Amino acid sequence: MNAPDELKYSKDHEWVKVEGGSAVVGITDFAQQQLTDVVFVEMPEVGAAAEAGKPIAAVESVKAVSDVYAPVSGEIIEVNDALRDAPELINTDPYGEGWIFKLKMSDPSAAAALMNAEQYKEHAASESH
Amino acid sequence: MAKIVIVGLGAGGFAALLAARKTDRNAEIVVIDRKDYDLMHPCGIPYAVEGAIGSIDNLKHDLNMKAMRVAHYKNYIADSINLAEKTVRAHSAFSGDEEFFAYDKLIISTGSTPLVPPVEGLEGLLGKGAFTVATPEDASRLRAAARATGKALVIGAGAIGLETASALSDMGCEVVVVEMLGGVFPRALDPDMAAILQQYLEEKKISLRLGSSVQAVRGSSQVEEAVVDGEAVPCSILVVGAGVRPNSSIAADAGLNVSRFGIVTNEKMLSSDSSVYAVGDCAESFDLIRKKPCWMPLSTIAYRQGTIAGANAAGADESFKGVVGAFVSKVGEMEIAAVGLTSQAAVDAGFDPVFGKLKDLTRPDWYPNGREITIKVIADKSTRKILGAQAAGSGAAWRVNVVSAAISSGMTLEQLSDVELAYCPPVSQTYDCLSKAVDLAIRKIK
Repeated sequence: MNAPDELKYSKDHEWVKVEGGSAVVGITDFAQQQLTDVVFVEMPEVGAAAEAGKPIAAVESVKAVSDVYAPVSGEIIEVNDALRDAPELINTDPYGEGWIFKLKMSDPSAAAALMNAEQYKEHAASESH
Repeated sequence: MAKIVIVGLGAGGFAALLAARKTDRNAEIVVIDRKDYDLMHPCGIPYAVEGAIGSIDNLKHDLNMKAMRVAHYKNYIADSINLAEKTVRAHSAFSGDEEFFAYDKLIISTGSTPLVPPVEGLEGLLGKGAFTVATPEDASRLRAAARATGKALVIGAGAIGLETASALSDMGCEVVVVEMLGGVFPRALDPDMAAILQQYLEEKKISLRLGSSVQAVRGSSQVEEAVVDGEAVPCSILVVGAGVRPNSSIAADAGLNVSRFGIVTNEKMLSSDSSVYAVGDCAESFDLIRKKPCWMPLSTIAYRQGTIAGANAAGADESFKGVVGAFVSKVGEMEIAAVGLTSQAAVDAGFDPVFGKLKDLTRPDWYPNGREITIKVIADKSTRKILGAQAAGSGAAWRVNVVSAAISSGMTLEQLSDVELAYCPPVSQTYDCLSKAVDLAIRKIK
């Protein structure tokens, strides 16, 4: 299972890349595989408030609408416009070009409490039987 | 009792003679045509080459001209039209005898001729391994050549080029397709949709050279090689599928208005002379979306225009609104269909396009043998009107046909979303991919 070591992970299958006081967020390879072909991404507004554990975006496939939860609290500062015309980037490059939004963390230390890659892989493996 | 003369017996001329006869049982109808048989179906040629219709003669079709009381001058070539005297001068290809045909109404349906690009050496090798693909005779020669040899080069990645390339490949030839523009069906497909067909062709081991051109064709007595972007590519068959040009010179010479698109007509299919109609590949059409003259050499359009002209020549008063360019091609197993404007054409025409696109199965995933289809619907953001659609895969054409109706009736995305589609599991899905694509476009601009 693909889960890069330098990222942090939430139990709802989001990944977080910490960049100073900001966090870039997307969904994991495991999550995109479960969804199959992504056809639409409902993204938050820039400036919106994100609350840890609450839905902030949604990723849709032909058969499912899947909420994306904010892994940490903060303010949305950027969204990935490329996903409007190419939602399939979430399938082809979930950790790179498939990033969904970037937020300014209200508490920069909150990311430390998220899972690391090993813990996430175990978590995902336990969910998939 | 009108005397109607029709020059050229293809889809347009045939439709015209039927419509004229139905409109006026007593009209005198004369057909002048260069062929020595009645009708043939050029769109079937690539499929005939690979043997799909059995004998190539099945492309030819006898019409019951006597029963329809139509005077049919076969093997006659029309040389000129005298608009003042209302006569057509033609000669028999057999005897050379010249004849003058007087008319009350004239319908010009002379069609189009394959464009032979100015490639060094090509003209001289036509018939010696180099082929245009316009007649059953071309089909027979190409079929014989394909069975005998191995390497074919096709100029042009439009319908004729690709359908023929696929036929030759299925017959065992090694095929290279050379296209000047950047993708297959460059005027009908967006690059992402063309990529689907391009991948399919690669899987069929048909080599594609896009953005490339042929500089020369060489061979002592038969085609031996073609120079593509400076590189010599050995081939023994060369197929020219580089498009067609309208046979409008007889009209131009007579003094009728002719544009770069063909014979200029109005919505009654009348030319600049009120006794002369023009239909099909030799005539201009009217683009319903961009609201300006265009050229659309498709047999479906020739047929509808011929019907209008034939009826009008016989006394009716019907109108042809214009075209949206609904088209389908089957390349091997891949059905490719499109209608209206591509994304680039939409931008060039001053629209602000939004698209909804998705890849789906043609059956529910719990039902066996569902096949893949990718469909893209394009609309204008400000008016929300449908501008075009493209589809690749099983069921592409029928879905594009629905969009064709939507475009010509001025539907918006919301109206097209509301269209009820028929469903059962072996045929489609409860929520069809066409509706899904339309709804995705709507979501983007909400």
